[in-house]
Amino acid sequence: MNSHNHNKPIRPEELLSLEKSIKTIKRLIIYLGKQKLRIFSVILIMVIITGISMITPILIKNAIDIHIANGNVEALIKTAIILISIYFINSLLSMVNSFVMIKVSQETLRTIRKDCFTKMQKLNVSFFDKNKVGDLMSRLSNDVDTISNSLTHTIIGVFTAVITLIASGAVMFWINPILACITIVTVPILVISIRKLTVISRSQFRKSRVQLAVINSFIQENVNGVKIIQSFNQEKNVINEYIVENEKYTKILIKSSIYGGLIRPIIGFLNTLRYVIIVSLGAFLAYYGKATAGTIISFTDLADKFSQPINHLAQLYTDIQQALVSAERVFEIIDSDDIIEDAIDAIEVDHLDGLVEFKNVDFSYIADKPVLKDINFTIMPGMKVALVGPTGAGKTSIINLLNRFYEVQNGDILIDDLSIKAYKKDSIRNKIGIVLQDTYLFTDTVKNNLKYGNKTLGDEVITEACQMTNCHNFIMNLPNQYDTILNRDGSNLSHGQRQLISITRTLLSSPDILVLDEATSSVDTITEKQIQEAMKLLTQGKTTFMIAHRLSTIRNCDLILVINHGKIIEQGNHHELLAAKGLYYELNNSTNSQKLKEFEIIG
Amino acid sequence: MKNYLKLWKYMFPYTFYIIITWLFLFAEVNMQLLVPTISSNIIDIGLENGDLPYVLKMCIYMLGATLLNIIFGILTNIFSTISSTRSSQTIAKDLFKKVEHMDFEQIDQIELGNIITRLTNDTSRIRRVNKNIQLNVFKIPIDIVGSIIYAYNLSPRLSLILLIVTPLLFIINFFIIRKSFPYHRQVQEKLDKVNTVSQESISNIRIIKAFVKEDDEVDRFIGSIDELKNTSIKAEKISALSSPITSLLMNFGIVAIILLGGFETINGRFKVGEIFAFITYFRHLAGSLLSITNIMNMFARAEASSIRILEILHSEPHLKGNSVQKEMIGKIEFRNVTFAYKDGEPVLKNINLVINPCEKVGIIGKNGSGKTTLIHLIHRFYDVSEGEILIDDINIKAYNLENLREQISSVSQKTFLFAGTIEDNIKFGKPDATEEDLVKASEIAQASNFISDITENYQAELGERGINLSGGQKQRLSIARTIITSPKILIFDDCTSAVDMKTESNILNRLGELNCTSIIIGQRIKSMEFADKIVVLDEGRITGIGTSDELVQSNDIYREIYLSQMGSDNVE
Repeated sequence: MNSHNHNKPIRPEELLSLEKSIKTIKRLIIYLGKQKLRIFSVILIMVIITGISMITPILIKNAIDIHIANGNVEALIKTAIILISIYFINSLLSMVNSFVMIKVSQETLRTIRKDCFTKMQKLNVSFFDKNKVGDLMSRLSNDVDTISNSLTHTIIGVFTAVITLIASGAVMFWINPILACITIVTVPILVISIRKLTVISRSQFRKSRVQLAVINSFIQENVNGVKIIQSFNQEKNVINEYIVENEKYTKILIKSSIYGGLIRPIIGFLNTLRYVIIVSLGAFLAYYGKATAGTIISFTDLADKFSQPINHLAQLYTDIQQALVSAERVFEIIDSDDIIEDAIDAIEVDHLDGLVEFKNVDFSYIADKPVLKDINFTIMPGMKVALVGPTGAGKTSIINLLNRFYEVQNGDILIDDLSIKAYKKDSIRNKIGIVLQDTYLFTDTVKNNLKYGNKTLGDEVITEACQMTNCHNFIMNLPNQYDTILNRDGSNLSHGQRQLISITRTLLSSPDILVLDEATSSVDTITEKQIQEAMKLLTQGKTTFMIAHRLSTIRNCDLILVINHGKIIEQGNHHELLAAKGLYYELNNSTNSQKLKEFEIIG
Repeated sequence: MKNYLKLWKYMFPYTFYIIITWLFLFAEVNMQLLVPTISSNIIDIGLENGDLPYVLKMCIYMLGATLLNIIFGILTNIFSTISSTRSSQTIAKDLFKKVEHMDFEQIDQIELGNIITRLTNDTSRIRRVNKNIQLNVFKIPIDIVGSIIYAYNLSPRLSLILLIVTPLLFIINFFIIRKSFPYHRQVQEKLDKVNTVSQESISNIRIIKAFVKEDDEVDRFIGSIDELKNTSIKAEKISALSSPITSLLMNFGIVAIILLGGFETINGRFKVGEIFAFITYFRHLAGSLLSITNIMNMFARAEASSIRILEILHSEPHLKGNSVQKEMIGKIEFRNVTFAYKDGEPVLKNINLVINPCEKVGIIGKNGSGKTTLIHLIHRFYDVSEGEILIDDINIKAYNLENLREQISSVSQKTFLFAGTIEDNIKFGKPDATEEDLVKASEIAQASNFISDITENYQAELGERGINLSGGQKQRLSIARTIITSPKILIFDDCTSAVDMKTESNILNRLGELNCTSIIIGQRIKSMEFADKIVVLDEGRITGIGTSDELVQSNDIYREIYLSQMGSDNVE
């Protein structure tokens, strides 16, 4: 594709406002809230660690100013032993803490992934019309990953930071108020400069994310379509386009990484600067007898402790931003309400008679572009109905509505005299068997694919069904027969074989109403004949809707609905419609072979 | 490590950047290391002697060193970012190229979700590692050697502490990392699995909903993320050991410095300011060593990513083109062709067939009879196992691949359209096609009518997989896409299955205008009507060649198909 198609961002990505950020953070905290006990213990341990580590600078100061100055070896050794014990306890505690934190973050990650995926499964088919697979995938994997990478560390980090700040601040004031004031003044400078930087790097990061999504979609599509691309000799063009996109991404990435990477040296600089200030000022104070060498030494340590949480948060700041952007993308899915909800009093059915009625049904995928207009028909239980018409006439849409993949805009669909909305949609779908024109199989064994609709089926039932649908023979020829794992999209089977399996899959789910969407069209006639025989057996007494082009199929139907431009323009059986000499007649006689024409009419 | 290093060749073009990065790093570290020595001088000389101008002078030196430190730091960041990003994106580019050039045999064997992670996650990991290597791995030796030299200048005896603690830190971390490496590899594997499951669940959503299997899919997904979670916890726990152990050792070192430095000071061989500077050097050294843990972890992951990247980069398509380039006349000949997919039973057996220039040939046969395979062989998507295929009496293996494929075009059963406008899609194989070509191809493919019904006409955007078009419309677009390339050999591989019969015959009737050899694979006898000759394929063998009338008489399979579609009243 020409590159301009990929310039368009998938959605307008605007910066997260502060208000929105807080909202997102709150939601993330709720996720963490599911593990209150663990988080509580992490914070508790943190408090203990921080408290203990505040003692060390005081001990060190005393060792230098008092014990060493006075030549008191015994006291020096005693101090050393106390210090070692403190460090030991601290390391032990922080080890325990990381273990708990790992657990917390992994559990949270899992929960978010689960929620996101569960929501995706609930969402309407129309949601998947609107969102690209690649984009959804990257939300589910990259974005959730980004969240977890920083989430727990950040939120726990905030608590630790506050505790550490207060404790080390207090100790500093206790040792030397003047130096303490100076040290504390450096903090806002640090914070402000880091904030400024992060705002810049954040917008850069967002830009790179948008381009990443573009490039991911591009990759997804062009890896998927590689066979087509090669058939059209377009490898070079596609690669060139990729190079253009990749170059764009590289540039944005370099820019955003440079901005992101600035934070580290700048923090380093500010820390060293503070160190320089403390030593210089400390020296002047010492010169006037207002400080000691021990004060300066312990202060550099304390100032380190004091700024560490701030630095830490600042470093995490980039991560937090990434996490927030990602979290927003994930929550967007979790918050989608593109769901057809069952009515509260929706009824569960385990059998449908198969009386289907469309009453004044209007439908459109996009507003103002009607696809179906005022559709009316009644199908008695057990009737076989063919939907016939030019491509794009609206046949597939009728079937989509019947499955309640989409909701009608006007009118109603009745099944067994009750509105489709009165049923639980799952129970309706359970009872409507479907074979789509694109056969999607799963990367799983043939057997599991076959029992997709009903996991409890025994092997014999499956084999029997496969024999009826002519699958058995070719399955037995596969390397591991029924236990052969199908490739990606079942590519170790031919198109027709896949279709046969998907038909058998539907048959095995024992539906009460069957919907066959152009399913038989690429099965060869002989196989189709065998399927039809099996189908006859299985569809006996069951309402069946088919979109088929083959005359032999259509002819055997009880009712033919001829659809054009979203309307039913003719209905009746084969002979009636031929006699009417309308569109059906025309479609039927479209071939220019005189001989065939005659036979069709006679047939 | 080994595989990751192989990918370092992508950094070679940026050697200049790397050297500059290293120089700036060297300067940056030195500026940093100067500061503690200066401050010990302030305490021990300035304060001791009450020399205020000296203190002032030293303070200005410190400030200068700090300023230079940040300038070098920023430059380091810029140069390392450029080289690491550029190199990793070159890897991504090479990967993409490789994938696009894979032959069909390779494509059949790879998993899509897998390739995409390699192209995105793995390359971005390599980028981060490449940058980190420059910032940290280069920095570590400078840090270590530098700290030791500066410390040794202060007190050779106390430096012994550094020499004992440093290797200890190193060894402990080394063991931790070695133990965690296999776990991190497992994490990557589990992540792949999660991706495969989610990819499939999203693509198959209609089927899932139709079968009301949303809950099962959720369970399947939860199963995969639980595995990922458990493995990740194991891996991270092992890695998490490193930090507390390292900081414990480091703090022991500091206590030792205070204790021994204290004794030395009491004995008059050392000064308080020097203890202070010494501790700072030790911290610097230990901090640097601590980052080794992260680096080793990073290497472990980079190695896993590298293996996955190299697997693709090193794969070579078996199919290679040759030198013949010519404009085809369009004669195709199969000579004793037998073909089997990798490790499979033969799909085509001893095929002999001559198709003359501009002839229209129909191929009919059951599912799995080998029709599509036959077409793939003409394109040379696969090589024949035995025999040969000749085009214009030249073995297709002698042709330049591009030259061969650009003159042979087929429309396949499965329509695959790209995101983009209708025009982009039709012009896919011939981006420089004129407006006239576009309209003509669409007319022949019977697509112009429905296209003009759409408000934006040719500029209408198609969703992923062309979701807003019906199956038949998609098929007609892909027919137009093929026709516009004006191939010498045109193949319809059952590509009109979703098109109604009237439209289909309109399309087939207009193929005569194209002046090319055409092969029509179909299920419908009607589609075969227009062919000069029909080939009947069954279980990989040709059972009959002739006109429809001849075959009805002579070929059992053809007669059976004919009867099932046309009814018995047709045969005398």
